Amino acid sequence: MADKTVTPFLIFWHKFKRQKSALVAGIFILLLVLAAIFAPFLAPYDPYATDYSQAMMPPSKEHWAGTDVFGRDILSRILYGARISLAVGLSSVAIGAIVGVTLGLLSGFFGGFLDELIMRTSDVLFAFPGILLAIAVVAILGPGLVNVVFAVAIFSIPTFARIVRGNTLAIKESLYVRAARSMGASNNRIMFVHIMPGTLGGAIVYFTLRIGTSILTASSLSFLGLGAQPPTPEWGAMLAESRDYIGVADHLTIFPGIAIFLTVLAFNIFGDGLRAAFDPKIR
Amino acid sequence: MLQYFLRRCISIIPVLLVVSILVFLFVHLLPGDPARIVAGPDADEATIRQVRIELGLDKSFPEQYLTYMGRLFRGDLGKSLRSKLPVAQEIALRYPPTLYLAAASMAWSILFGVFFGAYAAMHRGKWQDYTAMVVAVSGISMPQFWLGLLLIQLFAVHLGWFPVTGFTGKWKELVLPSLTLGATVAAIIARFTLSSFLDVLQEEYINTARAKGLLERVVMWKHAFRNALIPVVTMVGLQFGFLLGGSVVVETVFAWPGLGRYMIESVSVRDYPVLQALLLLYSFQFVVINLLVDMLYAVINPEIRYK
Amino acid sequence: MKTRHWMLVLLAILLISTAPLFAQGKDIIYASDSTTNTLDPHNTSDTYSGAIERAICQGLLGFDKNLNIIPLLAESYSYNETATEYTFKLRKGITFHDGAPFNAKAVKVNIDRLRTGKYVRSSLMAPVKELQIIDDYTVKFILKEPFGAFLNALAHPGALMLSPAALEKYGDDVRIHPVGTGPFIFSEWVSGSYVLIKKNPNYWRGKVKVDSIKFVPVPENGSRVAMLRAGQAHYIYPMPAELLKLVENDPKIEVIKQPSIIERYLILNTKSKPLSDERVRQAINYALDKQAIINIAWGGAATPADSVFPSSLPFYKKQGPWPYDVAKAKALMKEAGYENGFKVVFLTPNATARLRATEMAMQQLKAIGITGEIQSMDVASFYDKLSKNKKETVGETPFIAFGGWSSSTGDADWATRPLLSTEAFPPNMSNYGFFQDPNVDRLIKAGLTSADPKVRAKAYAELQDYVWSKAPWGYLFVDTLIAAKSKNLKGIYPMPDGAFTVEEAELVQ
Repeated sequence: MADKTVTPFLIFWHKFKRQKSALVAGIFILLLVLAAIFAPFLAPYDPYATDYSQAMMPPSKEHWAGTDVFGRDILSRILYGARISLAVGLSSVAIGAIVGVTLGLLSGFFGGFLDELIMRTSDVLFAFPGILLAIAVVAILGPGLVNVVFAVAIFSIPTFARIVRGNTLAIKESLYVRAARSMGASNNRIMFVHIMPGTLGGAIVYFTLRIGTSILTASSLSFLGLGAQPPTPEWGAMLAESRDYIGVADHLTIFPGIAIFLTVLAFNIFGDGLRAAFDPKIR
Repeated sequence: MLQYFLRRCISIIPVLLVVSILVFLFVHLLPGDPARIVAGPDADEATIRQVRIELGLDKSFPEQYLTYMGRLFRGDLGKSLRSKLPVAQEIALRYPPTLYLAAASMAWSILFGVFFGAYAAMHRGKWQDYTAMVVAVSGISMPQFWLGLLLIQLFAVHLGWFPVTGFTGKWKELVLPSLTLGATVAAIIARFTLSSFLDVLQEEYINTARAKGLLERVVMWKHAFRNALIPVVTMVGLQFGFLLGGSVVVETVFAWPGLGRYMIESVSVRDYPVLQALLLLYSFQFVVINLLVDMLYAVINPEIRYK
Repeated sequence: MKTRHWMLVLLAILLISTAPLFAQGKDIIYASDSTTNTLDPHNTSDTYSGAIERAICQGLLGFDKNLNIIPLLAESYSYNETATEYTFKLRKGITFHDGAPFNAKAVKVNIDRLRTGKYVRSSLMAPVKELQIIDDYTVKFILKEPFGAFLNALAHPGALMLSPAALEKYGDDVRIHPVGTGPFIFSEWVSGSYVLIKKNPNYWRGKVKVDSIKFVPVPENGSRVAMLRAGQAHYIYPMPAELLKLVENDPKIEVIKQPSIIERYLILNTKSKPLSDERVRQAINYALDKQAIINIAWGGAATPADSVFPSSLPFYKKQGPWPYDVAKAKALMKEAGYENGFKVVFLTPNATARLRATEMAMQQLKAIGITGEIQSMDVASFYDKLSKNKKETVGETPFIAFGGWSSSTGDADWATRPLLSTEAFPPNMSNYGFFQDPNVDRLIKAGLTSADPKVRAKAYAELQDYVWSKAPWGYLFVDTLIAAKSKNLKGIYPMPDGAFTVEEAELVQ
């Protein structure tokens, strides 16, 4: 095996595949993505087809997850909804993370005026309650899912920046960074090669938590009429639409709730595994 | 250290000034006309015009801003468009409920969050780890309004242990809302505690301590705890800042007369002075909390240097 | 492990249950979805605040449970044939809560305050040219022009009488110190938390049977129902129709249903093609399954609309309901040349029930080829959007919007003029569909310029016949108000306008 090159990916994979639960979660996410892609083939019914005579039927052989207020098949809506919820969750957090991590790194590493500027700006962003920020974003850009992605991304930036900055401050003073510096490494090298990997642990943990939060935030935005417009089967919107019936027709909220719950859980466990695999300290 | 502290304090002023302009812009950008809302759904245009003059909304935008800032520097936050009561008084009424709720929720979430996180870290890879984290994560993946309504059904309606809603100063009223609100934060803290402990537990000095034959418990609580706390402290600070803004959902579900519900009510009637004051207050709180968090950093980890 | 121990202790503390939380005095808790905005009747624009004010203050006239006008502080009244002079004989021996006497001077102070034009309800007194004091207990209103609905203006909560002494003492701060002649005396208002009123021991109409009423805002539907079920509220309004199943079998709870004066309809942009075509608008009315929308979107709490305004209003004349007939709708569409349908925008406030109703209307109109997207937004944005439309340009965007109206004066004029007349084009009033018809304007004016019930009835009958077939709206339904209360509470009723009356409140065993 001497001729096989040891790439970083191999190291990562070697470490990751030891995380059994993360593997399971990863498979779940993969299945979810596949389900989202192939929803038209998997869904037993048209997610938009209404049938008032079948309204709010509890789960049965015909409708595994029951029907909603308009008699639409909930299972089909959840399958189609996976597309929307996953896309919104992932893309918004990804945008937030890229911007936030970069800002946090710069801020922590260079300090001084830049730090002050970035941190105070993020304070300002932070200070705005998310819902109001979303209303403002949508007021300017108009309602719709794409704008929800932006609004949710904006919420995540300051937290990513803060976490990464905190870690950067700590790592900057660590022995190995000082060693690298004394060996004449450039700022860029120190920042991206020596410091960034160490800060990613926190960022990834937050990333995984954030996907769930984003799905939930997107849902509350849908609920405020700022996100997915009916009849789009977004999970959060499904939850919010049926909150009036909690206590009389619980299956309306339980199934979308479970979908959100399992997805968030899977992302968390998966993120945990990633984190362990990324960590240079674990061998 | 002291110098750094003072510098940070001074830097708050320009931030708040910028924030004030942004806040003003934001609030006035919201679609919707407060005069129309104050005048009521069936008002005619003459009444609306009269109300607009009465509220000072007929003036130009910069003029309104300068008037507002002028009053602000004299300590006058203006009057609510809706109730016509002084904004300061309205906020003062709603601040204590939100503060109590935030403090109680924070207490829960630190208690449960740190416990679950540390517990999971100690039992890394075993069933206890998974169980602890699933419990913690469920807190964050359940929509708050759902959890709140479930708790009400169980503990208030069926068991009758706690009141459904209300705020009259009894501790019992605090239990359900603070649990609901704390569940989310607890999940976040648990995750951070776990990850932070895992980091710290791999450090050389922990191995050294273990090699010296110290009890695992001592290693855990005495050596690891302090260092593992750093990221947790950041998170606690940030989350507390969020909580102080008041939770829209929890305050609505539990009819809690706090700032979160007040903000949503004020958004829905476009109560400009109230929104401006609330947003400025949030910003101020955040800036101060962030400052305190940074200070705490320095205390916990003396390695961090300040120029 | 130590942590585990004190967690157990904490849990134990948490779980200790104690005595019932709710003491049975003669104190009533009223939980509502609304929040008190002000207690100054002259400056009140919402029904909820107005209803609380009615427990504290009274007007010359008032409404009974069925929205009929009854004399209150006025003993009797008369008016001339042309509806320009109204004379009121005042009741003697009534004092305000602060001891100030109620007399002609007190009336003048209140009416003059309204007539300054500074208050939201100033418009009620806009027709008044002069108020004459004939003697200590007689006043006469002279109007600028005939105004047949003037009695309704005086029965409106915006024309309640405040103590002149209090007005002098507090000025506009009377909004937090309301003093009237009503069955309850204002006690305390903690903004955002509650309003507390206590019984007036010297009430002129008789003994008040409860000690106090506390009005608590509980915006979340589920929580409000839970409070009633747990015995922490005596009365809740609104009782969400979706959750009726939860309380219907509860032996301690009674549900009250009350037909309202709130009509719901789809506003059709009549200036835009193809909605400008009467046949298309009629087709829409045929295509709407009103009963299905009521059952599903509204939890059953409504009756199909059968005229331009609800049956609880005076001068109502039954027309419909408009039949649900898709075949006929399709035929009309074909006749109008829109066999293949067209596209519109559906606008709606994002309150869940209204959103559901609009969604259903959209589903049903699809059957006759009318398709489009929903734009839902918060209520303030919704009305902002509608009121910013200009009559010159509104024709470019065909829209269908979910509308609703409650005639706050309880009169037919206020149920038609602000919605259907040319003068009511936005931003002036609420004719958001820009419906314009000289015949309608003429009939509205005929109804307004007489105080003779016969003349008015004829005008409004003709108006309803005409507007119903012109179909400026997609007629939907009239709300049924639902409240729920604990069985031992008697004497609190919802009013058809969404307000309530608490004067006869009583706790029985």
